[in-house]
Order: sequence, then structure tokens, then C-alpha cells
Amino acid sequence: MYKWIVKLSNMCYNNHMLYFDNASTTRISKKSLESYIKASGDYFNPSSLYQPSVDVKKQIEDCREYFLKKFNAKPKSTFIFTGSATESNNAVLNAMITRKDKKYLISSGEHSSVYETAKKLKENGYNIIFIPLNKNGSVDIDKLIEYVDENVAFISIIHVSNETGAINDIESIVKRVKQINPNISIHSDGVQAVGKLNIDLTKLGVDFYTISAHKIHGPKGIGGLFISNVNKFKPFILGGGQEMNLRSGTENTPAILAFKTALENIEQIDYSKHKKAILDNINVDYYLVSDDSCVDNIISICFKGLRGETIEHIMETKGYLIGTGSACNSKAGHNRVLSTIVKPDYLQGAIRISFDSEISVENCVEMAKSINATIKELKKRLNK
Amino acid sequence: MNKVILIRFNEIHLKGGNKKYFVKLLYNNIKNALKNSICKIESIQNRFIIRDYEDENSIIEKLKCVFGIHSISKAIEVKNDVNDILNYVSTLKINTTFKCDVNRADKSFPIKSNEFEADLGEIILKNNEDAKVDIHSPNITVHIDIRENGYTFIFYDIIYTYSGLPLDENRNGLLLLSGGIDSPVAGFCMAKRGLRQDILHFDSFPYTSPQAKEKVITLAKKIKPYIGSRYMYICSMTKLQEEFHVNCKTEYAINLLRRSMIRIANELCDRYKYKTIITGESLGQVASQTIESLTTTNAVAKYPVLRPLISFNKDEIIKIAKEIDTYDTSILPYEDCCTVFLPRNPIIKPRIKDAENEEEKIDLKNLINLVLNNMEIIDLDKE
Repeated sequence: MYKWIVKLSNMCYNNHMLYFDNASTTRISKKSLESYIKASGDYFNPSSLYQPSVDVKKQIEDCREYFLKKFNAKPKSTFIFTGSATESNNAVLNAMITRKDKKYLISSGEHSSVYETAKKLKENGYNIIFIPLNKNGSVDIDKLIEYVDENVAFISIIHVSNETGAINDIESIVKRVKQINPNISIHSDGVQAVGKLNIDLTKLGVDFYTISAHKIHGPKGIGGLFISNVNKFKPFILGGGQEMNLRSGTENTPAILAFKTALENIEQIDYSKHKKAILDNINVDYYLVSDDSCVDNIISICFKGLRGETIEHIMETKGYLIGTGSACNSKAGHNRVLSTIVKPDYLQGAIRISFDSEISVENCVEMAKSINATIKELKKRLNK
Repeated sequence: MNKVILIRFNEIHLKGGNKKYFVKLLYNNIKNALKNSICKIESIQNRFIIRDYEDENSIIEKLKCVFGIHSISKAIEVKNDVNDILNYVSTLKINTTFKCDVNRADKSFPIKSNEFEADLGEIILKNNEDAKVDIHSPNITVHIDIRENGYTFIFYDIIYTYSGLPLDENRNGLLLLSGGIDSPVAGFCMAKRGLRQDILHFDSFPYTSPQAKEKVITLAKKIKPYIGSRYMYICSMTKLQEEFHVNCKTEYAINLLRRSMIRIANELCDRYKYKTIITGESLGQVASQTIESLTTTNAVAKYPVLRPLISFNKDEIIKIAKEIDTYDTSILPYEDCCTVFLPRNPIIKPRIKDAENEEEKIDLKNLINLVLNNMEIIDLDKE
């Protein structure tokens, strides 16, 4: 019955551009889209009392079980579906930052959904301390530990930086922090980590963990939040009491099922050859932010005296879509995270390249050559 | 007894022999502004009447954009008959201070204004226990406008609009619109004096984003009801900016760019018969708006360059931008000139001769032709 819709949706897959901006969002996979369309037929409100609703509700609960298992959540943990990772992050911070006599540590490399929320709370008088970053965009752990004491109530550290791909060693951070003060709650935004790292929440030891569907070839408009102890959490969105009274709003059944399908079909690919192909073939002067310790699927690289935006537009005319820093933040005119770790003359010329399974190593070689040509052309045009 | 909207005009009264022309112009502009609204427009002596309408508030909002209208009132129309007027006024519910204000344009009406005001006041007092007369500062004024066409309009409120002169197809200008706060306001100010304008925008892709261009198109659509624009010309200045950047003194970059903008505007004025160029410059606001900079730019203009904001402070400009709803779009962060081309120390007192010398270093004529040949034209009526 939905075959014709799937046929129509095939049109989404005709695109001649090579897409190197997968850290911004990914193309929904055919399987995930099929799940979405199929589940759209089961339109019943999961909260209603008739049998079709009971069936839908069961499907959602099966998904929840799957997520908890897949990420090996701590016993007694809960997982809730949200409208986006941004919502999950807002919910956690607003639930946890509630006392003016406590300290809260937030990494400077957080996604804007954490950073802006924390900034707002700081303006409202909460004692929030932003922890500086290392050169590759990971958080300076020693600096963080210096601040940890009896007064700290909550810490948020992104798992993989959306800007640079830097990995924060959450497991060891949690251990060190909890040795000093076991009462501190720790949140990690895992949006860029899912599918790139093996995530075992029991091992990581975090209290909250945020994930999103659209970064792993799932649909947009659906995120999730792992909560290890519901007693520590207060709902951010109030209403009909859905999601165990932790997040109201009628469940987005199609997106939930498509999210599960996306997760089931994640291909964990080794992108080291892709990254090497790009770095080996770029023969113009550059500054690499994403060092070897970063995930291989994100490369943040800067070109002196040029503007990332200009490079991006010229690359688009050549058939390559690349990013300039975090797309969620590109409106702000400057890159908050990179500006703290990159020298000013290179900062403006930052671009972000991020892969998925549709990009081959050959594509990377081609793209790198195209970057060379673009940079040389631009420098010539500007007499640099 | 009918519900109507009453439209008054002022300045065009003074146009002597041209009054008819201006009244007709205003009538047509009102008709055009209301072309998608269900209503009828009628012209009587010194007034227009809108009747048989559906959405009163949307009509009033549209009328507020029409220059040449002095004020608007929601009114009740009755015949110029003493009893009809008294009957209607006796139904008014007034529980505060009031006065009656009679305007007797129809000199054949049997009762003089003062006497009629007293009669009407008495009726209101009789029918409303809490009503009280206050002729100096009443909370409500009941206006009774007795017109020559045999009808009387009764209303409380007068909504004052921008006045000015009606836009005229025969008085065309070309507005240089950037993505900033000032230029949309400049377009608005000139339109208030009856100048219809089309729009010229300069783009520098790939040094700026497509979003920057979209932002300016949004601004163009926002000022369209005021300035009556039909066409928007978009010229890419990329090549020119690169040439200035590579070959000319960097402190002259902006000055040279602005001279090129005026040259391109000259060409469009020749081609499409615009009589003037409008910019949002304000004296001393930035380096390119000093009197010397303006002199250097002006030197290449073949048409008068009108700068309605020349004496405005930024906060005055922002106030108007907010009123005409362009401000929030203007402050979106997409730049319309790349920082790559902005000199660290732009020249504050440029000289015409020096600018000319710089221009000789490049093939300016060909570059400007290139810009014109690649110009994009957007029909705003179809957007």
C-alpha cells in the first residue's frame, strides 16, 4: 500500500552533489524512511484505550527496550524520546541546575543547545563555570578536575565534539570526578558519538546521555535521553504525562520507529583511510584542528587569510557540499568553539568535512584536489 | 445606515490646478492597495469612502501604507437628515466624558454647527446616565461630518497615517538596497514624497552567502507596499571587488566600490528611465559617508542622488525601521559585504582625483559592462 510513497521518496536519493557535511545532518536511509512511512499508517494515539492504540504503545515500549539494551544502560535507567537532542540537552540542564549555592561545570566545547542554556542560567545567577579546551577541542580534564569539589552538583561534557570530532574520555572523567564527589550528576551529549564509537552507558557511568536520530540516517524531529535515576530528573515539557510523565506530548510514533531502524542499521565504518586520503592530498598550507585522537569522520581544517564561507560556496559550485563549523551555529557569524583554540588568522578560514558511508576514499581524493584548486584560485583572485 | 471607512487627504488639497490629477492618482493607488480585498471604493468631494467590505482591520492596515492619505475613520453613514442623525446618535452608549464635533460641509443643512452640537449633546446626556460633557479634553469625541453629497459620517476615532504625496508611475527612482537597516528606511522616506521606486542590490557571492541575498529579497518584499516597487535588479560585484582588492590602494576599496555602484545605477536609470537614485547614507555614520566620501561618490552620478537619511541619527532610523517592520530582517547576521574586502583603515577624506587614478589601474568600463550583462532581474509581483 505504501509502495508508491516509497517510490516517490526515491526522488530524495537523486542528488548529484557529493555530501561532505554529515556532522550537520545525514540523509535519511531508505530503511528508516520505509519504517517511518509504514508507521505513519498506525496513526492511533498511544494513550487511547482501544486495541490499535495498545498495539502502537507496545511498539513504542519495544523500541524503548531496544534503546536501553543497545546502549547497555545502567540497571533501573529510563530512556525517553524527545523532539530533538536540543530538547534533551535543554531538559537536562534545566532539571539539574536549580540551586544557587551549588557549582556547575560545563565544557566550553558543548553544542550550542547546552552552551546557550548554560549561559542563560548563568545570567540568571547560577554559578556556572565553563571549562577550557585543548587544542583539538577536547575538554582540558586537569582543569576540570581542579574545579571538582563538594559544592559541584552537575557536569556536562560533550562525548564527541561536533566542531572538531575530538573525543572526550567520558569513562575516565566520570571515574575521576566521582572519586572526588560521588554525588555529582554527569551528562554527556552523545549525538556525534553514536555510530562512531561503541557506547556502553554502564561503562561510561554517566547519569544522562543525549542522542539524536538525524545524525545516523534517521528522521529529523526525534531525539532521546537516557536517565539513570528518574528521581533526579524533572520534566521540561508538561502536559498529558506521556513518556512516564517525563516528557509530555503525543508520541511521534513514526519517528520513534524510524529512529530504531536507523540504529539497527548503523554501519560502524573505519574512516581513517578517508581522513588520510584528504590530508595526504591537500597540498596547500593549512592548520589541522582534528588531530589523530579525534574521530575519523569529522575533519576541522583551517586555511590562512581566507573565509570558510567563501571556500564552501566555491566548493558547492564544483559539486561538493562541505560545512563551515557547526551548521546550527553558522548564523552567529563566528565560531564559538574554534575561536578559543585556533589562531585568529586561520580562524576565519575554517571548514568542516564529515563523511558517511556513501563517500568513498576516491571521492575524498577528488575532493581534496578540488580544495587545492579552490584555495589556489582564491589566493590568486585575492593576491594573497 | 451603513458601516463605512472614511478616508481624508490633506496636502493634495493645495495642488491648485493639479489637484484633480493628484486625487485621481490617490484613488488609483487606494484601489491598487485594496485589489485583493472585498470592498467598494467611492470618491466624493475631498473624501474617499470604502463600503461593502469584509475585513475592516486588514483594509485599514493596507490603507496605512498608502501615501497621500491623511487619516482614516471607521464611520456610520446616514442621510443629511436631522432626524436620521439624531436617531442614530440617540443609540450611542457613552459612559464617560464626551463632546460633539460637527463639521457642516453641506451648507444647506438647516442647523448651524454650534446649535447642532448642543442638540446632539443633549440627546446623548438624556440617554446615558454616566455621560458627562467636557469640551476641552473629552475621552470621546463624537464627530459628525455632514458632506456635500447628501450623506453624514458619524465616528469616534481618527487614525492618522503618513500623509505625504501619492506614489506616481511618472516619478520613478532607483533605490540602492543593501541588507542593512538604513536603505529600506530611505526608500520609505522617499516614497512618502510620492516617489515610486524599483530596487538595485549588489551581491558578492561567493564571498557572501545566498542567505544574504534572500534577506534582501525579504526586505524588498516588506517595503514593496510602501514604495510600489515592481523590479529588483541584482548585480554581482565580485569581480570588481577582487580587481579593486588586488590592484588598487586598499584604503580606497569602499570608495571605489561605491563609485561603481553609482555608475551601475546610472546605466539602469538610462535604460529604464529612472529619474533619481536613492541611498540610505547618513552624514558621518561610517568612513564612506563623510562629506568628502559623498563628494567622491557623487562625482560620478549622472542623476540626482537623494539621501533622505542624511541628517538622521541611527536611533531615529531604527525607530522607522521598526515601524515599517524591516528592522528584524535587517539585523539578521548574514553580511552583504565580505570582511576580506573591508580595509582596516578606510580613507575618511578621499579625493576625486585620487579615486580616478585608482580606477585607471583596472579596466573599469569592461568590468562594469560585465556586471550589467550578468544582472539578474526579479519581478517582485511574481515573487
